[in-house]
Amino acid sequence: MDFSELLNEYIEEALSHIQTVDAVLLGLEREGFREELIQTAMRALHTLKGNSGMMGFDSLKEYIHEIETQLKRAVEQRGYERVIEILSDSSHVLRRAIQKIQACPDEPLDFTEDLQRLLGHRAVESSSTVEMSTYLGKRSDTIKVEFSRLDELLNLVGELVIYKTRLTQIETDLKEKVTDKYLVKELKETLDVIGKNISALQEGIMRVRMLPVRHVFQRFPRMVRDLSRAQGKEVELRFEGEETELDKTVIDELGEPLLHLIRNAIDHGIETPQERLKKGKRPKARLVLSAAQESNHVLIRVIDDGRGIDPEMVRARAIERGLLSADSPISEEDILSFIFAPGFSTKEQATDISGRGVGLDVVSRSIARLNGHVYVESTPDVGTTFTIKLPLSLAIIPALMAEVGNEIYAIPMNAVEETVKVKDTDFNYINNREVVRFRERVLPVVRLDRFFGVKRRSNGRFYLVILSKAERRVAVTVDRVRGQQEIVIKPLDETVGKSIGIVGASILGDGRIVLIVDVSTFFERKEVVHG
Amino acid sequence: MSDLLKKVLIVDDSKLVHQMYRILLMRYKDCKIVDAMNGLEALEILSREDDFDLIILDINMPVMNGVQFMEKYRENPKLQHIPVVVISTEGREEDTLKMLRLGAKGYITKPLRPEVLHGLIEKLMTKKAEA
Repeated sequence: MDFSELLNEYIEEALSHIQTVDAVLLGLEREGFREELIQTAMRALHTLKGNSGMMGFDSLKEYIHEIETQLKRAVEQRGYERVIEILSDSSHVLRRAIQKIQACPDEPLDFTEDLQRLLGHRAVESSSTVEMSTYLGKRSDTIKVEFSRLDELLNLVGELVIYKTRLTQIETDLKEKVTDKYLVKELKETLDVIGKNISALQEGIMRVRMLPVRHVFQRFPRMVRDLSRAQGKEVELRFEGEETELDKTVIDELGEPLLHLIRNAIDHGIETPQERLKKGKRPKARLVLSAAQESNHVLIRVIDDGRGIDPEMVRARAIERGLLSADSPISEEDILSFIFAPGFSTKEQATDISGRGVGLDVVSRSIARLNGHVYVESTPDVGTTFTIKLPLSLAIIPALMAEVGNEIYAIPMNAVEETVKVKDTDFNYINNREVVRFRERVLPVVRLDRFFGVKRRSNGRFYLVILSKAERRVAVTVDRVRGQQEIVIKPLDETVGKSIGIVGASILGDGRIVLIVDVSTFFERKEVVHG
Repeated sequence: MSDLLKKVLIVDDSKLVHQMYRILLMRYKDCKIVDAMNGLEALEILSREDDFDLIILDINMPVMNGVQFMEKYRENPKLQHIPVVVISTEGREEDTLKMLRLGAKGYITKPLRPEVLHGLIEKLMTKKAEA
């Protein structure tokens, strides 16, 4: 982790909190004892305390804690002079401490004398020792922008993208009707330039919205420490690729599923040191949070070197829960995916930490909402890897435009493996379920027209869109494929939005509305034929 | 329930299985049922009469098994209008793939559930009606 970057942020914020305290002091001197002013100072101090603790400056944290205690007491006793005294003294001390941290962050801080003075044992120090320039704070080369403003911008760019497509279409139509070739040529050239600019603008705004996944990863070291300690386990947490960037909306939603996966790893995957020694492993387990970008996806992994998942146990449980029939032919890889099924939990006794009825199905669902998916690989006694595959952005995605009857559906490209033309006679049935043979595999078929209740234009020829999720494949039938296109996702209104199989809508250049298919629903069947 | 199902050929080496399929089919629809004890017998029957609407085929049989039968079936253009449904305990992907590649229209893994058989017949007959 880039600690220095984090440290700079911390220092900048700390100085602004101290400035707040100074402002309160000024106010108190001017307006007299006003409790809401003191509350403002208390809030600033409290935040600073929290931040200091997070950064590992424990003695500073304790010192601020003592300031808070003393302030509270002084307020209760309405000791106006005492409040001023505490605030002005601590403002100096804090400023000096931050200065010190800035100079050499690794050197321990000592507040013994300051604490004694705070508790009333020593005389107040004069301010002459404080470097005057620190009052100004650091000049900043970053600005804070409210996220909703960026959202607005992206929305506007989205509209631009749509209208640009429309313009291109008009240009094509004009070419046939207008005789002035030169004019049309000029229009085309201008359009090309506008197009390039819009792409650059879009990319620029997307980049501004990106944050390193470090922001989520950072929330976990403490949790890992507390959880493993509570269970008598030893865990070394490591980050890899934490500078990988993702759209902020994705980052915001990622915390929850990661939390479940990490908890799951510590509760169920990682063994106690004794158990590990018996197996000839290092007593200290390793838990890795990794992130990496792969074309227009980001892969986030939670890797542990624990006991792994026993596929036979998963199979037995899946059968017991009625999720799978006993004679069902299913590969080991597919078996593991059942741990994401609703109502599935391999541990008999739920532990007090992770067993609050929250299964991995929640993880799977929240990742699906992000247009991504999660899968698991595991080797008994070697460990388990959960992989979350996410699109770089939620707002604009490449999609395959497919026609069914008079409708156009957008299928997110991240799930599309390929498209092929087939005849009606290429379909077969296994156990009453329609399948198609494709590249030496038998794939379950989803007919999009029946799925959405749309009438097909004609019988006979189809296009098959092969979708994949981890090891599984599904073949979706459509009438025609119109090619790939960048689309701007408009989330559906709550009232219409709940319909199964749809994640959102988009508007095409010609003003037509397309529905964006929620690919994950095709994989949610209880029993897989093969695929 | 489809009226198109009038005559069915059952190919299996077990008399008991014949009885069972007969009961299941009759429950679905009253139709004529012809029994063959292996692939060779089935081919002989088919060379005499090819007006069947469905062939139900087992894989493991003496004299000529289901795979060998399908190899002959595929070579005979006169038989292509009769859909073949394989019913077998072998349910791995390579087993099903092999039979489908040889031209079987459907594949059912044992134990056989009546609603699966009926559902499949319904779909095959609907397709036949469309064609």
